[in-house]
Amino acid sequence: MLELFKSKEKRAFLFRNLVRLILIFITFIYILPFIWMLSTSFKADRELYLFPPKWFPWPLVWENYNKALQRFPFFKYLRNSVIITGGSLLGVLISCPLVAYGFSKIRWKGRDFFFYLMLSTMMLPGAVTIIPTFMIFKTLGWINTYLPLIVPSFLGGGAGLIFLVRQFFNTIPDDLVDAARVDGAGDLQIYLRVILPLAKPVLFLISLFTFLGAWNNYFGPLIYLTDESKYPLALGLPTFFSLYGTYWNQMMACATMTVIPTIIFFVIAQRYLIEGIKITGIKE
Amino acid sequence: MTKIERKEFIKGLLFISPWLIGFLVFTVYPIFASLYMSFTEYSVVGASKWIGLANYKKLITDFLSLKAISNTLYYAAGLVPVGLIVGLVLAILLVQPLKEILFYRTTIYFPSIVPAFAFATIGVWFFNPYIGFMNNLLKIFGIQGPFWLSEQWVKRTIILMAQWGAGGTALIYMAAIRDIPRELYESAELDGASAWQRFWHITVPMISPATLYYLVIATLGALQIFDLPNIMTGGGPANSSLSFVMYLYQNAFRYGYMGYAASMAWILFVISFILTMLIFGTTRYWVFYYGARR
Amino acid sequence: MKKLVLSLLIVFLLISILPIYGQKTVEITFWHNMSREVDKKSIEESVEKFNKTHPYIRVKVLLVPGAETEITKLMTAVAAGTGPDVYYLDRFTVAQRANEGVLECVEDWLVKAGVDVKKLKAQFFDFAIQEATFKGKLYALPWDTDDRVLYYNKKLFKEAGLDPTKPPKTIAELDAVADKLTKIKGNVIEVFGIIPWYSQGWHYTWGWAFGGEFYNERLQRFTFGTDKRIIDSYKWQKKYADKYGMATIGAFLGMFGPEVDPFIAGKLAMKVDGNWYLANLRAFAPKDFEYGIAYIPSIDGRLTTWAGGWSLAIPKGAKNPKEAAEFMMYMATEGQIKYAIDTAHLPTVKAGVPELLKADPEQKLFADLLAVAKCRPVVPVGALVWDKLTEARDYVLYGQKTAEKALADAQKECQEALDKALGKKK
Repeated sequence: MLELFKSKEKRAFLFRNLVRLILIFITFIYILPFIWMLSTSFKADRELYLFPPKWFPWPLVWENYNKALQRFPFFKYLRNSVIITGGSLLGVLISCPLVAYGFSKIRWKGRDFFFYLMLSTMMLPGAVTIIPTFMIFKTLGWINTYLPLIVPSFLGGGAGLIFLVRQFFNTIPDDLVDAARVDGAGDLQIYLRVILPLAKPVLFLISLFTFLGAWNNYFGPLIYLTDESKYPLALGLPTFFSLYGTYWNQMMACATMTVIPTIIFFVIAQRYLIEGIKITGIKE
Repeated sequence: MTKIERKEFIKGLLFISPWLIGFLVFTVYPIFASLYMSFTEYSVVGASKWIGLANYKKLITDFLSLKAISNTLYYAAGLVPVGLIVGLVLAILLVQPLKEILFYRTTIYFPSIVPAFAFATIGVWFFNPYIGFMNNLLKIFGIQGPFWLSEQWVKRTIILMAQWGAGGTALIYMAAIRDIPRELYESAELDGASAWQRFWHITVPMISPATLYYLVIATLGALQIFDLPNIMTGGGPANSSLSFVMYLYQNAFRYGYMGYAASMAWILFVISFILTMLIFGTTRYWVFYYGARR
Repeated sequence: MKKLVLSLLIVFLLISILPIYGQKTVEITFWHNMSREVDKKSIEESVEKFNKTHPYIRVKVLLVPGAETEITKLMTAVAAGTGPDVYYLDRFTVAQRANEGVLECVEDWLVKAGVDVKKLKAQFFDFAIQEATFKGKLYALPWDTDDRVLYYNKKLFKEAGLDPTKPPKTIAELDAVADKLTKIKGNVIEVFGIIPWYSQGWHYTWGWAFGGEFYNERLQRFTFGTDKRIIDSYKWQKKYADKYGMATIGAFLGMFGPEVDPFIAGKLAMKVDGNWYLANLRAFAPKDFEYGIAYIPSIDGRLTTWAGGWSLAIPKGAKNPKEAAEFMMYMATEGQIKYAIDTAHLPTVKAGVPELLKADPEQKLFADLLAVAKCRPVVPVGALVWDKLTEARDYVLYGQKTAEKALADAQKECQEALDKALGKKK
């Protein structure tokens, strides 16, 4: 047995498979909610409340998906979700790193004051600010439009995201910025030419968080929209809840369809995260 | 201010102007409105009546609000460190060069994507004392698992359950790890540093900016925890999992005590502010910005 | 001369426009949260019919999904003056919302529209009118109702050697039957006879089954903290908690989660549930599932149940309250009868009952019970009372307080809130 550990190659082989084993175990735990959603979405009505619950219903009841699609105008809601999410995404990508740059790479008096001021806006629960906020949007005539859901994204996208990007900008060497300044570049140029290309991983992070936040935002559309034809998918899902008996199978079918775009977005966008990873934290 | 300072000041303001405009237009008024509300008796509709500090006085004599505060602090004390460890461990595992790593990465992020209600049943089943996954796992090691959803355990269970959402933290750490220059590791290896030494002396300081972000955001998030206990237990059994914001929400909309809710919100604000400042106060001892001029 | 011609022209123009303005279609908005398919469809069909028969009014329906959150939308919108004209409100909160100033007085608008309110009220069951009334005036019109019964599993009855045609009538019988039905293997409960507080076994359910009274309306005082019968009903539930242990019961229920129903799974022999549960059993229970429906057992064998349900109200700031009242009148009567036939919800309008029974004869037991059904105390702090009673029950079950203490504490808190809401000094 000891022979095995002697060569470096074999040690690496063992280590790799140990990691693999741990990951498979963890993945199993993390995939359960998804499997449950999928499995419920294929159950017949009478299989729903059985005990012990069935993990692998057979035959698969595709009809649930059909019914879920007919419950509300699914594709119209999908379109609305795309508009809200797309708008938010665009807004955040334009404005959030810009603001973060101001909090990171420019030295100015009052920067820390404004930074802490920004953080403190996250400390009040929304329940007590929602009514005055609503009044402002009403004064602007924005009720029953997507503006209350999208415009804030163009204004930095929230303290949390700005803070995140600022942390990543802070790790980019100041020497790079200074070198560009010596070459006569203005801050806007430095931001666009030097900082942004280096910031792809964090841009991925804020895109993903914005996407998820906008796609699953239930409370905002609920409060601001008063026209069913403007509802996004996140408002379609809870229509399956009923005080008088819930068809979990149809709801999970709808949830599955709602989730798919997010998964696709994740898989496509995540390559920006790994781009360039050659060596890792602990051990190779 | 000197001329250069003024120039930099204006430049700084210009860069943060999107946020500043949003702050002035959409945030300032609601903040002050809620502060005003906290000194009034106000039920959302109709006039508000100034009652001075009465809401705040009620707060410290209201048994349930004190219970909810203590529950919430318990959540924060658990969620922040546990989430940090789980997120970091996941990140380290997920940057390993395996062929199928994309699969693991995606699945570990799944629970953050799946709508919350899909969790309730799985969570309950996972932690069932007789047939659940956890206790069967513990049984292998000869441990008799607890009644996870009993009043003694429910907060700990919710803290554990929240780790299904650790994918977000893991991604942030992965991005931070990716940003570490390779040369650092290479030269350390040449110097004969062990894997642990490399982790402790290179990885940990290099990802400390991400850790600072995590600590602040996780603390603020934990203090406002709402969804998970609301879905899993509704605050029960016997209010042992009731969070402060759950109770606040009930007061604001269910009972129509908006003024009282506002006073609760401002107490939470003060707690949040103090904790955030405490975290920032320690940063110079442990947060390290690589490449920043000292 | 020119001036005269011009002014004549203007007058003429105005006159020619006026009739159009007079007949201009008034749009009213109606928010509801009945997302179940048959419910939603029935409401929409009634609205459509109303729109056809009332050409000058156009009702626009909006489904507001969510159970607890939808009230947030209403409150926010009403606070900003963008609320709907008609809102679908949990009837037991009418008094509270009326007191908060969220609702228009419907009765005033009905009177203005020339409706004989007394005659209108007589069309509905008393308890429903009571719940919709605040300070002697209607603040809502009753919509559907519901009541609670005992469901039991006949197969489990047979297996335990019990007669499935003789469900328990008194609390003593219930205890005996439940004991026989409960099967324990080791420390795991395989079949539970009954878990009193599960599902619709609320504080009100058992408090009334024990003959207690929660509120004295004349004195405007709560009585549940001192009423021995209600204290007894809590103590009785505590006996179950002691016998099996809350952790064990919690673990038993924890096998099912929100999606799986232990009664349908054949693991729970009896449960108190509402009339709507009948539809669930028909849709979700195995085909060979044999269930029985009986009255809730009471301390002395008397019939007992309580009724809840929904109502239609006009929020403050409604743009067209007069037309809204007209629409509500239609919905609460004609619309409600159609709703009962389509959805098997119990109507509060008496004329709806025979129509419902024609469509679904199995509802007879529920319909008959409406004559004895109680409604929760009509007070402006209804939600708070509900939550405090639930909290007190938890404290008792988990052994943190005695029944006497828990109920007395809850009563004190509720009474203080009530006095404040009614503007009484301490």
